[in-house]
Amino acid sequence: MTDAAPPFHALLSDQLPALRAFARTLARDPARADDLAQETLLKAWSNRDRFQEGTNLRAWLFTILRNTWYSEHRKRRREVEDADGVHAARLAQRPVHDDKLAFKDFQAALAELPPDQREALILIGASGLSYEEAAEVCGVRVGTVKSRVSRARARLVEMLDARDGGDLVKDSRMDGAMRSVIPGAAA
Amino acid sequence: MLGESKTGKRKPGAVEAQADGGDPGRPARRRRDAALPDPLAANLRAVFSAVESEPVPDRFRDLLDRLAQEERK
Repeated sequence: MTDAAPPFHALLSDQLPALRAFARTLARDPARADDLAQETLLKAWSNRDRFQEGTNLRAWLFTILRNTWYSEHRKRRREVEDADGVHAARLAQRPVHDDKLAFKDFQAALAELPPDQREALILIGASGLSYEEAAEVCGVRVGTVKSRVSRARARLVEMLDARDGGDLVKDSRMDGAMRSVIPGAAA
Repeated sequence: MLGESKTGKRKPGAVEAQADGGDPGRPARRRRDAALPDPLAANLRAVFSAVESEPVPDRFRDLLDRLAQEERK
């Protein structure tokens, strides 16, 4: 006797919070992110026959969302990256008084990363996907994902370190953590 | 061994060391955030979960209700 599979709409409902969160990673504006998430749900619904039961639904949904985003992004080309480091400089000027401000600065720094690095970092560091799954979502090799994560991490530390006046890297806990994952990493 | 405490509990980032020099009879554990320092990973999860924990907007409730009705047909 086999258990009936949950209805597909229920599976989508379960993944909705994570889907919205990943959408916010790509489309930083909350309203636009929700538009993206809704469009993803509709596409997933229309193509539910293509989803293989037992495979990773979250990764499948993230792939649809990502493809939708980049397809729209190519049309809009309205994303502005802080290539000149203006925002990073602004971060460096703000004194840190409490954890809320520090967290907001972290969010701001994350938003300044190039989209491919930001999504790789979120997929690996927050959404629960493996490197292999993240590579499938992004349509690249595992090594590419690892490279993007590494560059994103370095850039984030650089931006946040500038804000803290160099104390972040000198913090023994962060320094120790970095050494543990990067053999031979300098302080 | 690099990345391993006295209790044998592995620290984040020690996956590669384990794969190279660990017990061959013991499968290497895959830590999904092994490449990220703890403070960074914690902040990333906080950013992600901040959105996850938001109340679901009505537009999605309405959409999922419509899909549920369609699925029952």
